[in-house]
Amino acid sequence: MAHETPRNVGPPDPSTPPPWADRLLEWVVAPHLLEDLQGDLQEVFQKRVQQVGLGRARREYAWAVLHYLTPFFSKRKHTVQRFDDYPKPAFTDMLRNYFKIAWRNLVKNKVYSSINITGLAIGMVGCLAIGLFVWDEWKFDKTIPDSENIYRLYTERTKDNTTTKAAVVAPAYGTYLQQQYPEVDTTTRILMAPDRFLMELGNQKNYEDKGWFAESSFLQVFALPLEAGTVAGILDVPNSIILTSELAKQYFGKENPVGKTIKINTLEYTVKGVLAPLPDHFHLNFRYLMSFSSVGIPQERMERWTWNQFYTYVKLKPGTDIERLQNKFQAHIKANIIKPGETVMLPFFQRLHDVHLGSADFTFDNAIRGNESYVNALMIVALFVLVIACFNFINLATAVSFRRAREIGVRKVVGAERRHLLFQFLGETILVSLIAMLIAVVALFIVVPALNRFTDKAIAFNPFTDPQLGLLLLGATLLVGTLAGSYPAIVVSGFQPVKVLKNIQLSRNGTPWLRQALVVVQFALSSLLIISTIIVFQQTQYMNNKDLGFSKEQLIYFQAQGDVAGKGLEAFKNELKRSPNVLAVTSGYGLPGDQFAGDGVTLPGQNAGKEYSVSMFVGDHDYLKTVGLQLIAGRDFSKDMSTDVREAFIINETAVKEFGFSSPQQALGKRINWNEWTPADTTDPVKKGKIIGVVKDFHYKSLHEKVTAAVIHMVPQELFKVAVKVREADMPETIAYINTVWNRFSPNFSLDYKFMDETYGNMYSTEEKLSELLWLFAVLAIVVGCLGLFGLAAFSVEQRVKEIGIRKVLGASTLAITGLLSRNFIMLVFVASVIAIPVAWWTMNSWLNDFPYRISIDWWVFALATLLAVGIALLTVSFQAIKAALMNPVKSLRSE
Amino acid sequence: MKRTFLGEFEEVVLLVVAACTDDAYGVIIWEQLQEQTGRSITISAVHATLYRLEEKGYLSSQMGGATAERGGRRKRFFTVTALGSRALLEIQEMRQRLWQAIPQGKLQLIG
Repeated sequence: MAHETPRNVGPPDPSTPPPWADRLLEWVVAPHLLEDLQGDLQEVFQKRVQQVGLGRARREYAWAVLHYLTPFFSKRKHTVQRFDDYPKPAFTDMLRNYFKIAWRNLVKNKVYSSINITGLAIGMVGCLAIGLFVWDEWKFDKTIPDSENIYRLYTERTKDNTTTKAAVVAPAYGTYLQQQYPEVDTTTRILMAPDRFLMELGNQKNYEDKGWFAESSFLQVFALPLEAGTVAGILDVPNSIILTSELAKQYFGKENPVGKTIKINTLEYTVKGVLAPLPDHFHLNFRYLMSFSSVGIPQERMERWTWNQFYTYVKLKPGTDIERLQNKFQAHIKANIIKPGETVMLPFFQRLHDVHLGSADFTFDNAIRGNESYVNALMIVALFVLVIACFNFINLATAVSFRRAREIGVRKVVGAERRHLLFQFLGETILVSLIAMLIAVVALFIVVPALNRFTDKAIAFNPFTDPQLGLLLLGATLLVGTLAGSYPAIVVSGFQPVKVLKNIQLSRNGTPWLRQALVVVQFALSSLLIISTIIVFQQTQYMNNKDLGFSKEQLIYFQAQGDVAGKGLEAFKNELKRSPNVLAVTSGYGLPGDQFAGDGVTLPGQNAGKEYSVSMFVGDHDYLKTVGLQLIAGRDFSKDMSTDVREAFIINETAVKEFGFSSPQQALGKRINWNEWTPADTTDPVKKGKIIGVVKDFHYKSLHEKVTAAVIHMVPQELFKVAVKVREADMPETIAYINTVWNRFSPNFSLDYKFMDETYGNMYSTEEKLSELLWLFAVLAIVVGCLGLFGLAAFSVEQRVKEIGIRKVLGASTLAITGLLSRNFIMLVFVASVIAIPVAWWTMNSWLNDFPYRISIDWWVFALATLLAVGIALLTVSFQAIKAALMNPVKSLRSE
Repeated sequence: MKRTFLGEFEEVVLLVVAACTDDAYGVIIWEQLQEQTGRSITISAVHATLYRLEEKGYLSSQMGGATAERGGRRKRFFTVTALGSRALLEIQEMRQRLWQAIPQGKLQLIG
C-alpha cells in the first residue's frame, strides 16, 4: 500500500525543516507511527513558515522533534506486521513463540519439569566434577620441558606366572645405559631412603620430609627452573643440597642461601641452589635434594644388577625408537646378566606422560600416582547417573506428550513441517538442559572446593574466565539436550493432525515397552552401583581388619638418631624396658609397613650359583617378640647362642617355598649367604649363615601385594629404626616416658614417632575414597532414578484417576488400589535387579581379582541390593499410589 | 470487563475528534484543541494521546490524503469508535447526575 502513494507530490519547496531533525525523528520514532506523525509535523512547519518565517519555523520544528524522543514513540510494535512493511528476519517471531510455549509448558508441568531439571542437574554435577578430576589427572607431567623424550625405568619380575612391576631398579642400569647406548642423552638416579631428615640451622630444628638423594644430572633431565644457583654440576660434590623455595624461605628467610651451610642429621651440607616451586602437575614431590655422593655407597655396590633401590630416569635424544632401545637393553640383560635358573627381571621404559596414571600396580613407587582404572570407573559411574537422568526425561516427555497433541495438530495444520516441530521440541529439551546446566554450574562452585579437599588437588573452576571450559560446558549442554530430547521430539512430531484434532484417543501410553525398558535400565544401573558399593566397602573392611601375621597394634616406631643410633642404643633399650608399660623393644632396619631392603641371598647347599631375591629385615634378639611374628618351626634368636648375631637367619613360609625346601622343618639348619652392605671385614664381605627358624607369612607390605620371600637376621651396624611394643593402657604416659628417655640419649633430636596401625590404615586410603565416592554416586543414581519413577507414578495415577474412582465406588480397598498402581513398577525394578546381578558379579569379581587377598562375593549382597532397590522404589511409588487410593471418588468422578 | 478510565486531557482530545466536522487528523485536532481550550499544547502530546486512545480502543484510524506540504506523507484520520462514544456518553451522564445532585444554595456559593 505504501508504494501506491508517490512520495513527492508537486514542486519541491525550498523551505524545508532541518534535515538532522528529520533524520533524528526517523531514527527514533517507531516505523508504524512515523509516516503520519512526520507528515503532521511538516504540515505545521509549512504553515509556520508562512506565519513566522523560515528561521523560527525551523527552530520550532527541531524543538517539536525533541518532544518525540520518548519510549512511547520509539517502542516498536510487536504484533505481526504486514509482511512487506518492514523487512525483518522471518523466523524471529516463530522463535519467540517457541520460547513462550516452552516456558509455559515448563511452568504448567511444574512437577515433571522440576524432576527433569533436578535429575539432569545432579547428573551434570556428578559428570562435571569427575570430568574436572580426570582432566586434572591427565595434565600430569605434560608441562615438563622435553617431557616426550623422558622415560622412567621400571622392572618386571616374572615368577610362577605372576608379574610384579617395581618402580625401582638396580644401580647398574643407569650406568650401563649411559655408557653403552649413544641414543641416551642423560640418565639420573634418585635414592629415597629414608626420606625424613633432621634439618638444623641456628635455632631452627625440624624433621623435614621428602628429602631425596639425587644425581647431579637430575636437573638436566627435568629442567626445573632454579631461583638461585647454576644447573651445571650442582650436586656433584658430597654434602651438597638444593632446597625448594618454600624450604629456603623457612630456614633462610629473605637471604640468598646459596653457599651457606645447613645441618642435615648433624652433618654440614652446602646449599647449592634454590628451586622454584615445583610445577603443579609433576609426578615427583620433594622438598630438597641432596647430592647422591653424600650417601657414600661403595663403587662395587653401584655396579650391581640386583640391588633394586633406585628410581632411574633417562632422557633420550629426540627421534629415538624406544621399542628398539628397550629390546636391545632387554636382550643384553637376558644374555649377560640373568644367570640360568634365576628369577627373570626385565627392564622397561615408561613414558613420563604415563607415570602418573599408568603406575597403579607398581611397587616401591615414589611418584604421585593416580589410578587409571579407578578414574575410568568413576567416569563411567558418573555417566550412569547422567544416563539415568536422561532416561527420566525421555520417559516423562513421551508420557506427557499427549497433552500437547492439540498443539502439534494445530501447528501442523497451519503449516509446520515435521522438521520445524523436531526443532521446536529439541530446542525445548536444550532449554531444560541449559537450566539444569546453570544450576549445575552454581552447584559446582560449592562442589569443586569439596572435591579438592577430598582429592588433595587444586582444581580451578570458573567457566566464565576459562573460555575452553565455558565452551565445553555449552557443548555438554547441547549434547545432553540432544540425547535426552531426540526420541521425544521424534515421537511428538510424528502425531497425525487429523487424529489429534478429531480427538481420536491417542494411544496414551505411547510406547510402553520402551518406557518400561528404560526404567529397567535405570534401575539395573542403580542396582549395579549398590552392589559395587557394598563389595568395595567389604573389601576395604577386609583389608583393614585382616590378620597380618603380626600385630600392628600398640606398636610405636621411630628413627634412631644421635646416641640412640650409636653406642647408646643398648642402654636406651634397657632403659625403655624398665617401664612396665613397655612390652618389648627392637632396633634394626626393616619393619612391616615401613622401609625395608630388597636384596639377594644365595644358598650354598642348594643351588650355589643362584641369587634369590628377598625382602630383608634386620632386627635384634627381640625383633620377633616386638613385631609379634609367629614361629612355626625352629627357634627365635637367642642371647644364649653367641653365634646367632653372625649366623642366624629366620625366613618366612614363602621363602621356604621359593628356596625349594619341602617343609619349614626341612629348611632348618640350611646354609644361607649374604653379601654385606658395609662389611666389617672387607676381605670377607660375605655373611655365611644358617636358617634357624621359620615364621608364618606376615604382610609387611599392603594387601595389594602378595607376600614374597623374606629373611630376618641381625646386622648390628645396620640400625635405622627402633620399634616399641607398649601396653594399651596409659598410652600418653608411656609415650611421655619414651620421650624422656630419648631426650636423655639424643637431646639434639626430637622424638618423631609413628603408630604402625595408622601406617597400615593409610595404605588403603585409595580404596576407602573409592568406596566413599561409589556410595555417593549410588545414592545419587537412586535419587535420580526414583525421581523419574515418582514422576511416572504420578502420571499413571493422573491417567487412571477415573478408573480408581470407579474401583473405589465398587468397593476396592485402599490396599488393592495401592497394589494395582505399584505392581507394575515394582516388577520392573525387580527385573532390573535380576539383570544387574550377573553384570555386577562379573565386574566386581574382576576388580577383586587384582587383589591377592580378597573377599569372596556372598549371595546376600545381591539379595540385599535387590531388596534395597525394590524397597526404595516401593516407597517412591506407593506414596503416589496411596495418595490416589485415599482420594475421594466423588472428586475424581464428578464431571465438570 | 476491565474498565478503562479516561484522563481529563484524553477526554478533551476524544471530544475534539468527535466534534470535528472534517476528517480529523493530527494537525487539525491540535489546532482545534488549542482553540477550544485556550491552552498552549505541544503537538507531541496530542500525538501520544491519540495513539494511546487508539490502543485503548476509543479511536480507530486509517491512512490517506497525502499532500505536498506533508512531503507526500499520508495523514492518519481518526474516528471515534462505538466504545469511544459510549465512554463519552457515560462521562456525560455521570456529570449530569452529579450536577443535578448539587443543592441550589451550594452552587451559588461556589459561583
